Amino acid sequence: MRFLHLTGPIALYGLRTVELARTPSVNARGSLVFGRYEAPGRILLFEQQNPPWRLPGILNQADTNRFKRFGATVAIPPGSQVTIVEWPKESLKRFMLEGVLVHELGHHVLQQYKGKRLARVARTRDHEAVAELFASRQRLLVTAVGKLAK
Amino acid sequence: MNQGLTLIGDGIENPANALVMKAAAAMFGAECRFRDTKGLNQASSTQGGEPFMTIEADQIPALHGRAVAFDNLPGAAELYGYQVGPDFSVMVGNERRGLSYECAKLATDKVQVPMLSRRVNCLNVAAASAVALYYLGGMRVGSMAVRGEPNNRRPEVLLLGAGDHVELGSAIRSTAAFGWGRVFIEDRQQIWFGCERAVRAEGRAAARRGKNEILSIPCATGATHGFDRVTIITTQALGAPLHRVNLSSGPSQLIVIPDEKSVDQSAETWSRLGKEVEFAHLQIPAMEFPYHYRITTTIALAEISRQVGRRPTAKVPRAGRPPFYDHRLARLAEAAGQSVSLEELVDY
Repeated sequence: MRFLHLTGPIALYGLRTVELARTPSVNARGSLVFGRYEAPGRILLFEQQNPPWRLPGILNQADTNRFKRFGATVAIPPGSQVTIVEWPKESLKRFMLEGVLVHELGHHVLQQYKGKRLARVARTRDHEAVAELFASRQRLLVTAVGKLAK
Repeated sequence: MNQGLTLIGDGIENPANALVMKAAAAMFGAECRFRDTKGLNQASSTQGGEPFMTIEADQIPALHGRAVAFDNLPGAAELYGYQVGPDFSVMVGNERRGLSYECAKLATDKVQVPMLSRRVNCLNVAAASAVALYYLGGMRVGSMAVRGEPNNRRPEVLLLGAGDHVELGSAIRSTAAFGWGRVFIEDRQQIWFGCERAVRAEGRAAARRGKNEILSIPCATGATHGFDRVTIITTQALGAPLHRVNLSSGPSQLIVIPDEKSVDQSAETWSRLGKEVEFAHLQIPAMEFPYHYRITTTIALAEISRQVGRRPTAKVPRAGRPPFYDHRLARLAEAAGQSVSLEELVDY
């Protein structure tokens, strides 16, 4: 709740619920799902397994960098095709709040202020881009004022 | 006699209807029995008629493997294209009240003939029986056509030379029930226009004239018409079977249904009706049967109605699902598996 208020009223207006939920049925590729925005104004944060995560295959560079940015250590044992992601201390919580929740808030902001709250107001790709842009700005802002510093 | 087919009249009141139902059953080689709950046999004996074969409700399931309730019951399937198999009974209900609950609950199948009129929503029971036997008794046709503007395909109908006012009245009722707004009548016997009061009243009653708004247009005997295409429908083996003929060419086509009891078809000058004249015939299994004008007319109109079709049922647009966006790892397993060199494989 405290974290939500740090993002300011723009992101919170029209927001109905933020829910902690069980992971939905995963698709055939078994990719991890962290969160979901459902118009209008519903954010779901999904449960995550205890670290370390053993992910089949090699994680791509963008996701590796993203995890590392929030304090994760990503390792690929030599000769294996497995990626091990370790989340020390509270880095996973930080990832879920600053990485996932703020991203979902970005979806909400776009959907809310278009005025067509139940309609698809942008292509999924554009929606994701706007949400990620909003999240990155919010992270910079919050970091700059030091409000998230422990 | 087709042992696998029985027509059952449930609570029929009018002996005249019962007689025509017997004739309809005879056309298709079926047995005809009545569940006499409304004093049918008593009325028949009063009028000097023979008693009808009766049946009780609890005997119906033992007759055949399937029992078809032919009535506009909730959830009833459309008659056209309905396959019920070779061994079944068809149950039709009382003239006013329809099928009784006792019979309806015995039914394994519920079937109805689609009615297109808003005012006349049912057929004469004997005519309906004939339609049911025609389509369920082995006639392989498709379902009713669905068109944007079916009335553009609806041909004109000429009822020619009917000899009985009740038969003609029932035929006019069927014409209205199948969606026609007007019908041409060549009234050679003067049973419809300019007839005496009693005949007129009986004919109008059979046509349900109180709520039947169809426009009946008199045609002079032997009058010349200018239709592009004329199709004459008969029970004699002339031309193509009815369902193989295109009966949905629109108002430029005239469908002629002559009363074969009173019209000598070989002596008619059909070319007076239009440019191109063709014949179509009803496929009736029996070689000899008591002819009733309402039966042939109603079967013919049912087939035309099937081909003309109806508008698509309006679909209520589903409310779109609100959008949702998942935050997930895009490519988790980029290179699942293990690389093995050829040497390792050979050594293995």
